[in-house]
Amino acid sequence: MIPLNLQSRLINKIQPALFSLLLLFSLPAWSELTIEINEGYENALPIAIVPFGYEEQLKTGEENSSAKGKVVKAPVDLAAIISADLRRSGHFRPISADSMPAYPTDIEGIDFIDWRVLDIDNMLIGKVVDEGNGLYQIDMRFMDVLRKNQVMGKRWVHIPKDKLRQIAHQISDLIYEELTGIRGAFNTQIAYVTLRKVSGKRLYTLEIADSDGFNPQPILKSRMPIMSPSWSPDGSKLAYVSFESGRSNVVVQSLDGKYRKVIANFKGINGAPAWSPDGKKMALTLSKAGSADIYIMDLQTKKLRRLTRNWSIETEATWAANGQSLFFNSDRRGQPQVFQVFLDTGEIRRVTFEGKYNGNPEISPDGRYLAVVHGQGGFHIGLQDLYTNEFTVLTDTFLDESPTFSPNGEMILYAMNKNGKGVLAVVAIDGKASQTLKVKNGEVREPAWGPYLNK
Amino acid sequence: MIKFIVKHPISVFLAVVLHIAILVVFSVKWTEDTEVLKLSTQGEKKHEIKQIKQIEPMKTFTVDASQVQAQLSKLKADQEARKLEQQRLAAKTDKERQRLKELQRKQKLEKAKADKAAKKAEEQKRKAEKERKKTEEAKRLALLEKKKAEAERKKAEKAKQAALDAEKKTKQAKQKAAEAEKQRLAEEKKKKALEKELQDKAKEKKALEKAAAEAKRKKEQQDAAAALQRQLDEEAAEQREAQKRKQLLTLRETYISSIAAKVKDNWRTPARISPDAQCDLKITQSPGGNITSVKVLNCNKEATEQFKKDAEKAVYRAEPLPAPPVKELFERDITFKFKP
Repeated sequence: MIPLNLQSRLINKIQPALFSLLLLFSLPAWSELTIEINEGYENALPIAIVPFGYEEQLKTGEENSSAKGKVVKAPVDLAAIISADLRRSGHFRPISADSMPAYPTDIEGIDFIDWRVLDIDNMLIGKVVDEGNGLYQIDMRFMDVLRKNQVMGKRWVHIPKDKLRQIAHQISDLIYEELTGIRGAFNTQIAYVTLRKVSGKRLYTLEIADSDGFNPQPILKSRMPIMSPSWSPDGSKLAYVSFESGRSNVVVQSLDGKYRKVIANFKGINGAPAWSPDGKKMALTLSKAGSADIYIMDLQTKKLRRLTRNWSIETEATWAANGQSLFFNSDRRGQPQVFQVFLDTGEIRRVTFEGKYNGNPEISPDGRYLAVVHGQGGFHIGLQDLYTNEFTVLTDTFLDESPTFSPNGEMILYAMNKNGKGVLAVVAIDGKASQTLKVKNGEVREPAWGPYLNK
Repeated sequence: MIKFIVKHPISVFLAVVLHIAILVVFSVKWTEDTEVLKLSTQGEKKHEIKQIKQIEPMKTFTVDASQVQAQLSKLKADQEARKLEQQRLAAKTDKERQRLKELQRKQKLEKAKADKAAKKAEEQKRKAEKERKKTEEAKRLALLEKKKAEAERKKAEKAKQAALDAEKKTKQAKQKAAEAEKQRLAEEKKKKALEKELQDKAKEKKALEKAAAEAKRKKEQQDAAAALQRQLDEEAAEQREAQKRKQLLTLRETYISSIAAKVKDNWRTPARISPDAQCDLKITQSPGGNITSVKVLNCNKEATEQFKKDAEKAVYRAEPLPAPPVKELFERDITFKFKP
């Protein structure tokens, strides 16, 4: 029933990935994403993240205090992680450790005037205490230099070494929230697909990493393309499209790899999975009925509900924040535009009108913003305010695709092309801050920003 | 005869007068005993009458009643005395008649003897008689005159007395009057003097008053002038004050807006804030411009909690707040509308 030309266009869209999947097979160890900050806010707030002190917990007292002169360092430079987080947000300008007048680790050690002259309003001091047995205690105090008082203080105990970065991101979140009123999204993870050439063959890897690109961990490696990862709302699973069987399947896999299941293996296209906000349903694009249409699968019963019945391509569905409607991409008007379908009535309405091409819709966690790939003499990330219907183009990068919101809705992570290579980028929803995330010797695409790790 | 008369008018006149006089004496003898006596009484009577006659007009004088009474008693006594005298004189006259008869006989004898001589002597005698009579007449006249003068004098004296009395009285009265007058005058004088004194005093007082008034007027004038000057000064001062106030008010506005501007300059936030967010900031500062406290008040609905927090920070960041252009404009509490 689907007109051939349209079907071929859809296939064409997937073909490069399909093709490359065949080429890649073995690959070297993945490397971390490196983040390049392109743009920050002009009036970024100066802030002092003082290097944390490091102490070994006193077991024999005297001995250790004399060991102070010894160069002992925390296994993780928390201050550096926090500084990078804050800098990446574009809102802050952490001063370098070299320009600091001192490295106080407690309130008594702070001479506020010294910091005030540096135009510092806030400073973070803290220390890492080696508890022994690979566990650490972390103390932090966030100070108001203007009023010379402590804004907040927190202590974490029994933190294993490999969780220290997470603590740093939590601290970043706290500071961010204190200073912006918005919850930080530093202590989150992102999923993405890397493509490397190994021995002349392509290797696709589905990875998850901390939001700063550190701690990358592969979820799935495949010579076949991996596409459209989607986080379960609780952050424990990912749904994605895998071509490992030679054709598209929708797979749900737990992050720890213990659970993996193909949920959609219908005839034709099985693609674009999207978890409902309550985590019980999955929106899918299926062409089992001839043309690509939007379906909803009850994950419990595996029952499907077909939402669209049209000869045109309906795909890339995403859930409204309240779970009562879905936004999807349809070329039923000739050029792809975003439409909205209401689950209760089945009513469909067109949402985007700007430009010739608006695809790959994503809804912000608060439901207000719609991010799209906007095609108008190139492909850029566009943002439509659903309250006001104001539309802005956020990026000026090349061949942008796959936008995904940070859980606090402040940033959009997306894929783009740089020098012919796929890289990731982050842009603030006001377009004023951006960064690039790259992997060495490879390309990175299909990003998906995970939910808050601790609710 | 006529020739004789013409030749001797005086002798004739005298003879006529002598005859007339004899005739008169004889005629009087009918009523009176003797001519001489008559003559004497006549003289007295004449005097009396004359006196009475002359007293008549005295009635017009105011005379004491006692004096009149005394006068009357005196007159009565006189009449008594005269009666006695007349009886004595009548006796005496009888004797004299004898003697005269003798004498007449002797005279007739002698007359014949001395007729010739007598003619000459007569002439001489007439002449002497005439002369004597003339002298007597003159004497009588003189006496009369003297009596008259006496009466006159007495009258005059009386009158004089009366006059004197009157005069005295008058004098007394006059004196009294004079004294009174004098006193009056003196009093008047005194009064006048007093009056004058009073007048002088009054004058002086008046002068003083006038001087005082003048001084007062002058003072008032001066006061008025001073008051005017003062008023002018005050007005000028007030004007200056008003101007100063106005200036201060403008300066105050400038001062507060300089604070608001500095706070706005120091506004910065990583938060997304609505451009419509607005609050009042109530700043309490120390004289050095250091912040004691900040209160965020009267916010509109666009002003989020984050906005309030950041507005407060902007205030602290603006520390020290700009000093006032003039010291007196310093205000511990400053409130202004803040919209970044």
